[in-house]
Amino acid sequence: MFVYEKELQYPVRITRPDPRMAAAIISQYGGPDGELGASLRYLSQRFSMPDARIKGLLTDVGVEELGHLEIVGAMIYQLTKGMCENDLKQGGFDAYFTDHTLGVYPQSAAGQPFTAAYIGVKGDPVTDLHEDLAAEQKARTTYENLLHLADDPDVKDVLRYLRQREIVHYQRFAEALGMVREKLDERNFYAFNPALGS
Amino acid sequence: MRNRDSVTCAAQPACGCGTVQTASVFRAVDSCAPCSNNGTDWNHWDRNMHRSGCCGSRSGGDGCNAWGTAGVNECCSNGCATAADHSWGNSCDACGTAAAINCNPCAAAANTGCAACTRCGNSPCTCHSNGCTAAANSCNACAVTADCNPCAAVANTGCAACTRCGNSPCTCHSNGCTAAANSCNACASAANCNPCAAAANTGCAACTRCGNNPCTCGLTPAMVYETPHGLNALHGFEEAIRKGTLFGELYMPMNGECADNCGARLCDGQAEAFAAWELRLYLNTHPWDRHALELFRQCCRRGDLPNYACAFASDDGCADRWRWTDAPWPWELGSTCENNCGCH
Repeated sequence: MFVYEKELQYPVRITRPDPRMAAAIISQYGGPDGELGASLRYLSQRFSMPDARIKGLLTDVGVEELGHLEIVGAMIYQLTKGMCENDLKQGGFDAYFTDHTLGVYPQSAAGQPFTAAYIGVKGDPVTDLHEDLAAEQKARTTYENLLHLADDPDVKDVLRYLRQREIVHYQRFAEALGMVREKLDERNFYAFNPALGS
Repeated sequence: MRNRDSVTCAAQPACGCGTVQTASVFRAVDSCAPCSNNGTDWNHWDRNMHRSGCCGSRSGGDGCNAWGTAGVNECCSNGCATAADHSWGNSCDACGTAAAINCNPCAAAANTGCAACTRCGNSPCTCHSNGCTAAANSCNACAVTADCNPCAAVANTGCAACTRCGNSPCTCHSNGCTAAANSCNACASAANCNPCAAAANTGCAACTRCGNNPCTCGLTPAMVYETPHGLNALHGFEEAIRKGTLFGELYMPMNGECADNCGARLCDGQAEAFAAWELRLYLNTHPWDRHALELFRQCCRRGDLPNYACAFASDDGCADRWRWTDAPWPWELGSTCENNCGCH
């Protein structure tokens, strides 16, 4: 069951519109390494995780990523609300504006719509946790790329926060992988898929 | 009717030099016919060298492909016919014995170049695929270490599977331990064995590559930060939410980025809510950390934090550990309205 808290996990207060930046940040909304993919991946993987603690971790991190999705959406909204027509015509946002006006649509910076092809759910805890570790690193790198592109301190502040959260998630998933490892045969980690039993 | 490819054919007429046996499925009896093509024809009988004709054009023109002794048309399968015959460079390189009709190249004492038995030096030649070369060499229990199964100890029985033990009795294990007192479960030698050989190496059953204590290797990626003594270096709550983490070891900003005191004004309770959330993620993977549990409950005692952060904060009956993750989860078969909530 999902409950909604009417408060962003981290405040977003962007005073200067920047549609060009919005066109880049949209990738963390619906792109290959974005928050929508992350939350869907974790909330889906938890069903086949044999360890209850990792079910809990995936649930919590998946929920947090939905919260981050909301933060990114808020950024897009604030970066495009009230922009000048000149800003719009400067470029970088034309194509998106054409199809979505100021709506927030899940797509990558390059314009590809979100797809489940961006995520993996393999049903093996070792495999899925490796997917999650990689996903967190990819998200971190994406935020770093956005930090290179951004110059507005209000925007960078939120990007920094989100980037640091990915590092923390990586740590927790690695600890989860350690928990899975403890239950496996140390002479052969791959003797069987714990999700299927021996 | 003769099978033309068989080496154990029925008695055949011996064809003299210059003639070759003819074979035909249509003939009841074979006969000898002159060698065609100026005596250079070869038919497949010649390969077997059984009483074939003399269709070779090699010196002597006799029937057998390897030597030049006329009239000798009874050859061995490898072509050896005469003791002195090494000149043809064919399969008779090693057999020098005239009487060696079925010349097994490993028949000579000074047996170099025995293609089939490069490692057996003795006669009769009883080489085995593991290459043992010792004289009394049945090659099951190896007496010679060098080219043989390295389980070369004297009392070296049952070492077929052993490739790394140098001692007797040979009790090698798949992890390659080589120490003498080496049951290979508790490794006495760190170097080749389970490297969790550190003195304080408890709980290393699962560890195959660690040299450190606590043993934290295997599948865990290298960039994970250990908190062996529980929580370390916690930021204050407001600093924590601005930095993005409560944990000092995990704070890893990009170069040149604003480190702290950046950012927008926080809502009331937002910093505590963030701290509570960080702690619940930490407790999911460290459910027995009482310090973290107490800190989490402290955050949530405010009573006004968002539900998502403080779910399961109450300590009624849950004082001993973090129970949020306990089974059953709602989709599991044992889940009921009564039991799917754990302690609230």
